[in-house]
Amino acid sequence: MMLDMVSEKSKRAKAAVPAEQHQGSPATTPADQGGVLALGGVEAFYGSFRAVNNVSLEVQPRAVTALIGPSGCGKSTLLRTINRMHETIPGATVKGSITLDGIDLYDADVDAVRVRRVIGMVFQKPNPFPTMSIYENVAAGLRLLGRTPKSEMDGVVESSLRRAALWDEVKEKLKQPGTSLSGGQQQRLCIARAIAVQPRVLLMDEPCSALDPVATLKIEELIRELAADYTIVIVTHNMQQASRVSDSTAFFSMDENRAGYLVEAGPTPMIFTSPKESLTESYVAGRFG
Amino acid sequence: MSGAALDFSRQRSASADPLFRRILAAGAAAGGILLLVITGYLIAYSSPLWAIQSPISFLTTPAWITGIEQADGSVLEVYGAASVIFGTAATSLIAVIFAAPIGILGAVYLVEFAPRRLAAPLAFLVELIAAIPSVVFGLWAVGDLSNRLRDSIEWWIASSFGQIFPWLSEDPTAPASDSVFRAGFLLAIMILPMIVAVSREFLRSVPISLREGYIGMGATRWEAIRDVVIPTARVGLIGAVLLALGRALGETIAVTMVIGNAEGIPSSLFLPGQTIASKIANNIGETSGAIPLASMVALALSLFLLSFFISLAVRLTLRRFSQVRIVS
Repeated sequence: MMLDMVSEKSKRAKAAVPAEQHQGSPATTPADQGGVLALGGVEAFYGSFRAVNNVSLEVQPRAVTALIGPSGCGKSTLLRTINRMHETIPGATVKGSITLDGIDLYDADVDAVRVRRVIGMVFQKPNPFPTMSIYENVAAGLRLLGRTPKSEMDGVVESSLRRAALWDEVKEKLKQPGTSLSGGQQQRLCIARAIAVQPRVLLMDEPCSALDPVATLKIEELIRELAADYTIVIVTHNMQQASRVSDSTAFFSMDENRAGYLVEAGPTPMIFTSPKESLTESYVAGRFG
Repeated sequence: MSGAALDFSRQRSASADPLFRRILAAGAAAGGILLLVITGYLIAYSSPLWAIQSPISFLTTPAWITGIEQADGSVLEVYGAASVIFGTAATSLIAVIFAAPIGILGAVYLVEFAPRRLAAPLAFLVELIAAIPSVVFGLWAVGDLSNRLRDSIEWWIASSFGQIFPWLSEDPTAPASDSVFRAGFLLAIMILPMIVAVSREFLRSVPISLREGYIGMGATRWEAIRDVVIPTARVGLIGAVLLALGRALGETIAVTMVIGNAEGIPSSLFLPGQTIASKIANNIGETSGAIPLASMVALALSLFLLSFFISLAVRLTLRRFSQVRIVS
């Protein structure tokens, strides 16, 4: 199926109106085998401050790519450029190109809101919506897309919660507020919420940094399972986590102007055992950062 | 190696603690005592009225007749608060109907859309409006606003809906010089800053992470405000409106200046009327005798109870808000 992130207005102008991508498809597996993400010369700014400098990176589809590096090296900022969340901050801008299955996400015709439906995001702190029940939290994304029949919605909610390894814990209390769950359950709820709209890519911004080790382990197992269906990019401070969950690792550092840049990227075992750059080696050995 | 001897004996400064605590307790007690004194006064000094008229009859009778000598020599006295209670309720409701949506939307604009350089000065300006004394609002309304309202909104409502709803009708050739509606609208302007300021605080307390969570799953900013920000702040917004309603109920001088101070329940909102507070302010100077004075105190007691229950509602609502767990 063609990716469809072009804004409604320009779609009408072109008179070629492909079907709405997600509507009416109850399964929670991706619609096709896409999910190839490519960053070319990406630069991100806060006002005039350059936080990310010239990052080019090929992200493997249906695999986990970890972004690691010391604090302030722009890895979270880079992650937020991928689903165009970066630009929601006043004064924040992006240069360069990011393509998903060949479509430039920063093309003038592309609607950022529709990009975010295809590229889901899980945040540092679990953020279930406090006025919505567990069920409503998972259904929230589908409700944004329009009316979905109740039976179909029930199916999506259940399969998303199952996929996020949360169903057995919450099936008896779907009507309770999402905030009534423990921190780790809340984060899995946020993952269920993100996959309910069948994204192709999942971005995770230090998803375990607010969780205890047991909850962290569960999320890590979940990330491994989800990698079968989704392209996952995860920012982490925790190098053990990167080595446990990721297939590829990209190491970032800061230049003399405090702008983050990509030092090197490659298969995770290679980055952790025989990196090309000495800077990477001292970082993964824990000598700085 | 041994250091200086340790000394954990009580220092003099510590003895100030109990004293300080007593001063604070006295301050807190003063508030409670004051409330009791006022309640006691209102009940005691209104009691002569209850000798000739029951509280129920006082609350439900619209007529207010202070000592008219009848043909047979007896004196007719009727004290009914129904028409001023109507005036108070009508002006306050009109005020809330106009001020609540505008105030909440204004607060949403300040929090969500206004550029940072504009938001702070705008919020400050709104708070300045709250500092304008009500007599100044009243004078402005008498000299300017009242006529403008009569010729604009009031005229428009009366000509559009007056035919269907008699209580919204107005004589087009001779509109009243004062009206319940104009008093309510003036109150709307006066309580607007409070609604904006309180709503703004509650909207700001909604964590950015919730907005980002929703926008990150493909919501527009408007959808995030509608589905996440406003629902999360909902109870606080209700509290803001109730707080402002409490202020509108008791507002006296500005209302007295534009409402017309006419007896009875007006047949239309565009005719003069009076509120509990404006009646007390109007009549207290020329009131003498135990029963007429008691009738004033009885009016004060009803206003006091009305405000008391509104603020009780505010407390209960806001308590519920603090129980809603917000993840930040």
